[in-house]
Amino acid sequence: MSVAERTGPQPLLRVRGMSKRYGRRIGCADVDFDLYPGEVIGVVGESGSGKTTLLNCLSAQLEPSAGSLVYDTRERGPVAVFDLSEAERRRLLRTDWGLVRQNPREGLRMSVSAGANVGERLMAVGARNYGQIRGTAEHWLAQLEIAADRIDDRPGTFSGGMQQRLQIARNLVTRPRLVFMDEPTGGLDVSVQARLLDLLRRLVGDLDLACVLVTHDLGVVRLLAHRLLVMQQGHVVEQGLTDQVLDDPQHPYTQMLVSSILPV
Amino acid sequence: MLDIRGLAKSFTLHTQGGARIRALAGFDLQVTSGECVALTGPSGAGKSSVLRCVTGNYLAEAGSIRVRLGADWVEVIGAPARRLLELRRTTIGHVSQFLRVIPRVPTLDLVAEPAVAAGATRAEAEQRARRLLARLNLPERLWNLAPATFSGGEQQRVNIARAFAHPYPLLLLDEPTASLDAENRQAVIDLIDDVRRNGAAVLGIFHDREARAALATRHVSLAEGRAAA
Ligand SMILES: Nc1ncnc2c1ncn2[C@@H]1O[C@H](COP(=O)(O)OP(=O)(O)OP(=O)(O)O)[C@@H](O)[C@H]1O
Ligand SMILES: Nc1ncnc2c1ncn2[C@@H]1O[C@H](COP(=O)(O)OP(=O)(O)OP(=O)(O)O)[C@@H](O)[C@H]1O
Ligand SMILES: [Mg+2]
Ligand SMILES: [Mg+2]
Repeated sequence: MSVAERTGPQPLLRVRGMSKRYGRRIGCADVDFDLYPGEVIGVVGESGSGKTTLLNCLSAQLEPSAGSLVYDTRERGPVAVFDLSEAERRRLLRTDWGLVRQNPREGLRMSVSAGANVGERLMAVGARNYGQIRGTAEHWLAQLEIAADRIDDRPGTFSGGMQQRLQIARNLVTRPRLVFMDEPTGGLDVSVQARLLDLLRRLVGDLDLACVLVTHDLGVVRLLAHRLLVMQQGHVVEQGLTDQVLDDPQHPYTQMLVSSILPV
Repeated sequence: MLDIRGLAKSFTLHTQGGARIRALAGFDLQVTSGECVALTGPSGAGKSSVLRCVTGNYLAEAGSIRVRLGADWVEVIGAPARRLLELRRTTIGHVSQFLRVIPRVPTLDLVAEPAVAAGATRAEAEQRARRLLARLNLPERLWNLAPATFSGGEQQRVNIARAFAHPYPLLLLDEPTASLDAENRQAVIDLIDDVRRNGAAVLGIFHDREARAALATRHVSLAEGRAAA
């Protein structure tokens, strides 16, 4: 059965004409796409092409200059995200959405323990029972391959790869339906990257997560993304099935991007 | 199962001065259940391009490619990504020339995965994966290892097992017997022939004469992107 048949043909996120200007400079311009439940969409492009800007608009971190963003909520059906109140948007980010930042130190609270970093998100959605919170935190740390005896340590004592896994655990603990990730494997060495990718691949499948994944690494999208958006100077110049875009790129910029790296 | 009409495909190489390479032009082919069509023709004739256009891996430029999905026919050309992924999950088994290994995932999981994606339970999928790997003579000690370190022939058999992990009604095989020794080649030939006899439609490229003779119920020869007489 297709994703659409299981959940109804309704996209989870509908993006139209999404544009962000910084003064006269273009951050991103006229981005259109639909994201369906369980679908992973990769966003690639060179440095400065607008990937982070787009992600920040999509995750309501940044107010776009123009465009619409409609999210299909569990309770109320499709809502225009930027028509929601600030408080409602924050609630969405704490419950239904996850946001994994490139630098885990920005996505974590460095002054509290690993367990608290995960437990805190649960408390934000109303969990109160200490034993249950700790149990769930332990479960998610284990899912992300963080040893149980590190639960009381602060993230500052973790390696970069462990911090990144902790940030992901913190995001997944509320069982979000949609996760935004900005270069989740950036800054990690290759073997740590492979392990993280593998974990992500499994989790995305098991939890039926929809995901917007920003990266400049075409190997990462080949592995994780169903669909790909290619950005250049703020515009989406090509989009399609991931392997099609990588094996039979149509746009000159995509061809350049694909040919300038080793085979993936 | 498969109905291709007037298929055209060319490549424009923007990084090389906009050179244009024509791979296919006005190509027609129908494949029905229970037949195995062998695509033949010289290197560069467009054989692999046909298979890749059918899976949506290459973006066809003109014509029509229809694949039967249950009681319906799905037009591949212009189909949204989700539709193509659904076709691949439920209907099309595909052996590409090389296995793209996913790091760290054990062989047994890799082979079970497509069946789970097509709707089988974990237990059914694993049982089927075991049967297939045994049938393809892949030593059991390798089943729990990721194929990254396997020999070319071992990887090829993992690749084949994935395409047979679910009873797909349409199989696209790009040189499935390449890099296999005689014994393993025979195991693969037997597997393909069984599946065809059970009603699958098979479209394959077999450089190996013996495999072609054993499997093909019909030959279609390609020359310069068209079906030759
Ligand atoms: N706060 C800002 N003020 C002004 N210009 C900005 C701001 N943030 C981004 N830009 C500009 O917008 C464009 C897109 O930047 P963005 O950070 O989205 O790129 P990116 O694709 O994420 O790049 P990278 O791969 O390097 O992270 C760039 O030209 C950048 O200089
Ligand atoms: N991704 C691609 N980009 C550019 N040109 C391509 C691409 N794939 C195939 N071609 C070209 O299309 C033509 C047909 O190639 P194709 O791979 O379909 O041939 P084939 O019949 O399978 O050959 P072989 O027997 O050598 O595998 C060739 O000229 C080839 O160079
Ligand atoms: Mg960025
Ligand atoms: Mg070929």
